[in-house]
Amino acid sequence: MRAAGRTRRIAVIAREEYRRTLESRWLFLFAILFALVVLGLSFLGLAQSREVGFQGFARVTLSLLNLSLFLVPLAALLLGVTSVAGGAESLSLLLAQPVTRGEVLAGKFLGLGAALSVAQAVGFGGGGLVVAWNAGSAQAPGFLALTVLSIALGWLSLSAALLLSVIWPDRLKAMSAALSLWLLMVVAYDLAVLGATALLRGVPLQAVLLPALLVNPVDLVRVLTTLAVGSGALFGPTSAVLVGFFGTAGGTALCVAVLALETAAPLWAAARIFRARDW
Amino acid sequence: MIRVEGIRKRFGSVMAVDGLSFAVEAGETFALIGPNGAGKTTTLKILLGLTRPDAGKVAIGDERRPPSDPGARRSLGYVPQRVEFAPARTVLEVLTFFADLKGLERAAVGRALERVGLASHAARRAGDLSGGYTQRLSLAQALLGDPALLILDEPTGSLDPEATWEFRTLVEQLRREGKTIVLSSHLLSEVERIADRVLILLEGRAIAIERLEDLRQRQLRASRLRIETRGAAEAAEPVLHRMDVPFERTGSRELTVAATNGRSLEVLDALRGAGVDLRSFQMQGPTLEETFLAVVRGERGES
Repeated sequence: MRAAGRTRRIAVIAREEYRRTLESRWLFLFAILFALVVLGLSFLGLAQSREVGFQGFARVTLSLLNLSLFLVPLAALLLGVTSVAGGAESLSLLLAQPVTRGEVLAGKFLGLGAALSVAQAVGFGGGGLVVAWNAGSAQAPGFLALTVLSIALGWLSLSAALLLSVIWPDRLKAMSAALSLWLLMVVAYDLAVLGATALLRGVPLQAVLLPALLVNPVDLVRVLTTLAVGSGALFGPTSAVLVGFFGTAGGTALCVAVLALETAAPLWAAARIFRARDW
Repeated sequence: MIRVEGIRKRFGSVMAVDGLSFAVEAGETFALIGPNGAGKTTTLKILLGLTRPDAGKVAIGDERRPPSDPGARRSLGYVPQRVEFAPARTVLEVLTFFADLKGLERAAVGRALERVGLASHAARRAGDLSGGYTQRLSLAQALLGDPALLILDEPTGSLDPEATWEFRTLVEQLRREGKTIVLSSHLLSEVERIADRVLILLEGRAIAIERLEDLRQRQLRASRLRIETRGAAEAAEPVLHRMDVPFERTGSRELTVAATNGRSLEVLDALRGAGVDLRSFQMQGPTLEETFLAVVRGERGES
């Protein structure tokens, strides 16, 4: 099959997946939720100091960060898993068409990723525009970094979800695996790293922390966004280590490469399993 | 059109398909029948490239491509037992997606809609269609591009009787147009109207590949003539002995004679000619379904 035909088939599947995903109301609600949270955090962020009104991006970005790190991987994992696992009849019909399995998986990945990215761009961007209009665009690059990194985290989580769903085509098992991975990424991993740090007293901090941050994309996005906002001091004494490493061009390049690898590797593994599996 | 040689497929401890070989000729309607779990769906999935056999070979079309080659699937259409199309999508949109995937022009969608009688339903949402119309839509996507080969996996398994009848009529029409059709069912009655040959599967093995006509002959051979006499049935026995026709006394005035359709009349004439006073007679034959079950039970060693 020629490259033009392959590209066309991937585009057709991606377009279908994109439409189907955006038609589901919960992704729409996901976008609205983000927009409202951005506006709410900006408008009510100073309520504790008895002031109400739009404030700039720095506080909004940091407040939104944790919510984003919780919700984006969860949404992406569930989207990815439900796209493949549990839909045996529909998937069989698709695979019985004159397409390769690689084209089907690539189309699904691109369509789902595009839909999730649009939802995030609309949610973050819509809220961000209102904030910029009312409070100015100072520190908007940090907010933009959060938006871009959240979108990257979405693609990365989708890749992991596709891998899980081809390993466990049963929807319940795939969902369980996805939720376990989510818990590991957003909660359990940090606890494990804290525990490891306590146990490895005497070992230089960067020897534990830096590899640990690179392994978990959620932590990597957290650190990169915090540094982008210029709030590295929030990390306390560790900040010098983090800024010293991630603040350089080489460190940034390494982070981008790691995020790309953490997206590509599960997708590659998913494609291999998908090709070999009986459906 | 299809050549299958010695395919085997095991799922864990279960041998789903065990050394199956058969060929389907162009223009033929070939049915895979057998009880649930006999290996019908696995066989069809192997033909479609959805499942890879552990051993054996499958060649599709004149170019004898393996099913794993997407090019082999260019010349076939597949109708699964049940499929859920995106409920918000219209009939037209569903078919347009599959047509785009196959690289067909939009006119192909209109032709497929016409062929299955869905042209007036093109704007309806797939989620609003009844089971019968959903299956028609499934058939329409299979017919896109006018493939020479259709593979139907228990296509009426989830339909009500009326929708089943309508769907079978559509398939009969395609058969008359010269399509090669491979379909599976667990009911012989479902395929007897349309199949040329049947492959009877049991526990993954082929226990018979017969022309439907041969199966009907087998059915006739298993027919019985039940005779009721006015007087004692013994009077008929010497006649039957002379004709060398096996029979059984089933009452003082009743006999059951093993006679094929042709000999039944001969037997009746001979009895009347010998002065046996007949009160009534009745042909008792197994249905085609019972004949099929007899083959299956014979293979299983059941009585």
